[in-house]
Amino acid sequence: MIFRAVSYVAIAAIIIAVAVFLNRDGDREDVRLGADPMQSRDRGPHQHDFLDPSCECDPEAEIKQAIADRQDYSSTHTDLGKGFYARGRYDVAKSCYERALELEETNHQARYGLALTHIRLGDLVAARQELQRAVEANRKFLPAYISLAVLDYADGDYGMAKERLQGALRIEPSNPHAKKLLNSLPKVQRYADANSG
Amino acid sequence: MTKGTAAIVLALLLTLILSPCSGKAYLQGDRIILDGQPNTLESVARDIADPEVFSFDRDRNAALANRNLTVRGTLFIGSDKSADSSLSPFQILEMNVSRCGAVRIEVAAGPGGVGELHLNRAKLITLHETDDQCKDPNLLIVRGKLVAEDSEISGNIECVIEPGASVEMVGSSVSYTQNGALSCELGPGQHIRIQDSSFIDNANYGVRVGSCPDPLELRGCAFRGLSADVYNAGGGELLLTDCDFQTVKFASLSGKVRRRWSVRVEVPGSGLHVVARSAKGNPQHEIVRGVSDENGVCELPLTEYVAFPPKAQEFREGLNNVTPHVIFVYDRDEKTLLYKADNFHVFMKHQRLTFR
Repeated sequence: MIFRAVSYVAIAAIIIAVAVFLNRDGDREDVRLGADPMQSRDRGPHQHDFLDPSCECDPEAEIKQAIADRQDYSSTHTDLGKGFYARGRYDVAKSCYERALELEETNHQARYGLALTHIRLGDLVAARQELQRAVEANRKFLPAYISLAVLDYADGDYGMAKERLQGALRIEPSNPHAKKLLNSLPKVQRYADANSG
Repeated sequence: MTKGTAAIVLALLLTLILSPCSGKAYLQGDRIILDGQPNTLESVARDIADPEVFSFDRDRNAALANRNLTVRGTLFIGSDKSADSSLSPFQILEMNVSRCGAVRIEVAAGPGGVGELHLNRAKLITLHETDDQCKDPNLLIVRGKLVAEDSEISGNIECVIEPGASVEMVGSSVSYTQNGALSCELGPGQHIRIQDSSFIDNANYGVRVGSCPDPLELRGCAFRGLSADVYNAGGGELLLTDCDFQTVKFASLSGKVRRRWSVRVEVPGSGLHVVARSAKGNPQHEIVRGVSDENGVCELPLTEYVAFPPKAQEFREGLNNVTPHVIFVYDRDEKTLLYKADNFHVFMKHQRLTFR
């Protein structure tokens, strides 16, 4: 009995000793407090990482690296696309949006931007496809709904345009663009048949 | 053979021999002069025979000019138009003169004849930095004839069209300029054809139109400039049909910029009369008429708005609007009304109105 108790105490002591040994370097905040390790990257310059003379980190290189890393962000390419679109460089804007969508297929802003670019480049079929995908990616994304209605208007399909605009107004009843477009829908009337002669 | 016939044949032969049937390029002062026709980048390099002045790299399909050019004859740059050139690579002319802003390519016109520059899948570029480092514009000055198709002019080369010039530009672009992309000064009765092309400037205007006695129409073009996309400097009338621009600027208190869109009206039959009338009470009121073709299609250019000073710059939606229109479709007798569409707004390219 005594032997068994002593052996349990010995085993417990060994476990504690091993734990202390393994955790001897465990003064990192994120380890001790269970913090998100990614947050530790944002620590200020007072942190020991920057003061450690043995560290060969180059802050400028880190910034450059961060910019380079951001090249892979879909939103970066979307922003670039918006810039080129505003400058009338639709061909370049199109490439930027396409790259953004390669990186994130559900980026509805990039889909919308690509659709507007297609409109400027005269490809209304492709524009319609992208707008529909933008709506699928975000069911509450009103600009895409309204742009689809604009395309319906341009295509002479006023019934569908009206339906879409009413749908947009159900999501946001005070949307001024949808209201204005709804009021500007043409009214077509038929008076007689054409004389075949 | 009579003596008279022999004399005529001899005269014709002499004319053929003496006429400038082959191109010739030579250095005159600090310029390369191109006479005769046809000149190509390869033939110019051969004629000049000095790679320090002008060289042609067959592998790159590119020429490098270290002097300015004056085209008095004909210069062809690009692909052979007879072949299917849509997939062929661009031919490139790189201009590299002493400093940025000093490049001059002049398509001349004078008593000796009219120079012609033909660009077909061609790129005209400069080797200088084009950003803030080069504020002075390089110039492509057209006094003779410019024909550009599917071509690109970039590197701060402003395209300047002078009175009397003849210009046909389709599917081309002038971009990355610092002073203006396209500048036109036209004479009475002079027409130029520019369509489906883009003019993108980084600092000033996309297109600047100076003197322009007759209304000037540009179709399907995109204009962008930091100061204004479209600058009406001469007080004339510009018709911009199916064009992409946002801001308009005027230099004086006269002049107009009319923004129009081609609307495809589809009717059930050929020979039907289509009449579009803008809303009454508008000072810019318009009535546009057309007749449907064999496919029952009638294309009408309808005005969205007319911009005029002093309400220039940043045209807000609804300002000076001519649209909405009422569209009437009459039978072939021009009296029987078949259809009517009220409240039809024109606002973009490729708009369609179908009557069934």
